[in-house]
Amino acid sequence: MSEEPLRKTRRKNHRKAPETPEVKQAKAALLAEKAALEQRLHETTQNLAAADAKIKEGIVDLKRADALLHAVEQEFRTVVENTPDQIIRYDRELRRIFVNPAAKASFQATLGHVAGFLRNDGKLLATPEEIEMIQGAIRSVLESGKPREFELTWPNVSGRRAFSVRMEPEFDLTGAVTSVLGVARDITDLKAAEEALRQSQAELARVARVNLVGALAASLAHELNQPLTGVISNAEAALRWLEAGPPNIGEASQSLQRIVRDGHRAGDVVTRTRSFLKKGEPAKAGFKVEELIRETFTLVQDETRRRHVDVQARIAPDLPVVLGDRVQVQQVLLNLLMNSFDAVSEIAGGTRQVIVRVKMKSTKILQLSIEDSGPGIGPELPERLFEAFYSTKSHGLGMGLSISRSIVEAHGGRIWAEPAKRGAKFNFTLPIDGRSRP
Amino acid sequence: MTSFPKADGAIVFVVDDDPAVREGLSSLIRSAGLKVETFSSGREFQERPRPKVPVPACLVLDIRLPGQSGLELQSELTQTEEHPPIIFVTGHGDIPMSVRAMKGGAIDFLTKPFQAEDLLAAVHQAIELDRRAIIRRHEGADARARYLSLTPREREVMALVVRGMLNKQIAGQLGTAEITVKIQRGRIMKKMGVASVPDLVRIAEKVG
Repeated sequence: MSEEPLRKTRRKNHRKAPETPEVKQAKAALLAEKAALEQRLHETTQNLAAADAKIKEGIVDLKRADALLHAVEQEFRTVVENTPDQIIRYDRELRRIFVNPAAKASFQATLGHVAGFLRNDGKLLATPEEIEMIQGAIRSVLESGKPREFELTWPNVSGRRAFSVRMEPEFDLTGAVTSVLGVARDITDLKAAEEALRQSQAELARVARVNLVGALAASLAHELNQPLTGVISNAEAALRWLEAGPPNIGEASQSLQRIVRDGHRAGDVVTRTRSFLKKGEPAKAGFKVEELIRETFTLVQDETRRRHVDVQARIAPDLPVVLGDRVQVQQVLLNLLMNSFDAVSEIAGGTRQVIVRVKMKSTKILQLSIEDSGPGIGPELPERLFEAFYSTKSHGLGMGLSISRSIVEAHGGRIWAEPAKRGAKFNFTLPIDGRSRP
Repeated sequence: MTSFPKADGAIVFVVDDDPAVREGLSSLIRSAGLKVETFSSGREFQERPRPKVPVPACLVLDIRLPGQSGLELQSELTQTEEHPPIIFVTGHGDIPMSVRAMKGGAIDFLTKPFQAEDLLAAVHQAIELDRRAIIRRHEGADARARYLSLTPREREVMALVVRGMLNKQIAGQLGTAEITVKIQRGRIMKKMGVASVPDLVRIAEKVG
């Protein structure tokens, strides 16, 4: 409404009957009151509209939340229904109150029955002892409120299988255990695979050892040939000294003495080879590392000579006896030495040097290091070096360091590689023999 | 020409890094009446004291040696003019190795362990070869020394005598009297230490 007609009216009224100041005042007050009321009505309307919008928004949110909840629930349901793990929930009376499809299929487990009984007919497939065991486990979780994990064999539709079982307590708002959720995972195949892996690893280790022996066979043949040449030459010489006129007894007897000595030397080579080839189980005993190193040096002597490698040992004095399988530790030493020879042979010219160091790492641990003057190890390699079938050598099988690591770890030691001054440095530790100290 | 080295002065050098092999070979070779010197490396062998008078010798050499290998030592020795003939011994000789050794002039290539007879036969053969080589070298040196004692004119005459010319022809060619050539020829024969023209021809070949 425009103010113009109102003003006209007022003027008219004014003309008809002149107003008193009191009336004027009252009218003005009324008008002000009306405006205020209109203003409040307007505000209230606006507030209502805002509230309505908020409610609508809330409804949308709720719907969205409901959908989300549904999706999440669906997601969990899909997981629970499709997981190969067998999931069963037990109430305080050990009755099954939830069984997922995997459990139904595997155990023919049905709702409502007591734990351990497989079918509707209540027929027992597990032994009474086994049923007692599983029920005991559920009871203990119900009582203690603490989860339990164990492995067991249990009959299912495909026969007796191995399971890894986890039992989880479930609580109500007061903190009381209301039920137990059992998750069983069939680990029969996993166990079989683990066993197969272990066997093939053992077999591979043996093959690799045979391989290593093959590489050393040439060296051993040479080692036998040397004393044999000595024996034959001395024997023929002795015959000639005796057949001379007059016979030279002194020379003949010296030749015979040398035959005895060289014969023993050949025998030692045979003994050493035999102990090296022996497939026997690890037999831990105390032994002196310095002696082992000296012996191993003799074993690779031919190799070092052929490849012009200068091998040195720097052994700390008065070392204690270490505890381990001597033959296996020697294999580690041989592996690392052969590797270092390969490494230094990669470098044309310069000195080919390998240094073996032995020192105490702590009061109970001895550390052996094999340092070479080869090209060194790449920055990305140290981690992978000890993995099976990982090799940086063109003809490498990738077993040497992997086997070495399993041997060292079986001895409670550690093996690692690090860059050296010029090339690479391989270290491993061995426990000292706590039973006897020299 | 008179100072022939005696057979019993012959010496066998054995180079092998294994003491058992060195001792065995040493005893065996000594039992055959030969002198032996042993060395554990090629370096040690090359640093041995040398006799003033050349003695027939041979070298029994292991292929696998620390540092310089036997084959490397052989090619190094071949660079120098005079070296004793080489008999190789090895623990595991392969064909390329033996081919290389024989091409390098080795007398024999024996695989350890070997028959004593084979080694001794090779040693005797090698020493005999070396003895002849020493004599050849000795004769050559002797002939050269004698030739240098001739006057330039005598050398001219000698060249013509060796070609089979008669005194008369030589005198004609050089424009001198026949009697002069006859005197010069007598001096040449005396200085060169020969009694006949064929001997002179033979020694002239050594002078070269």
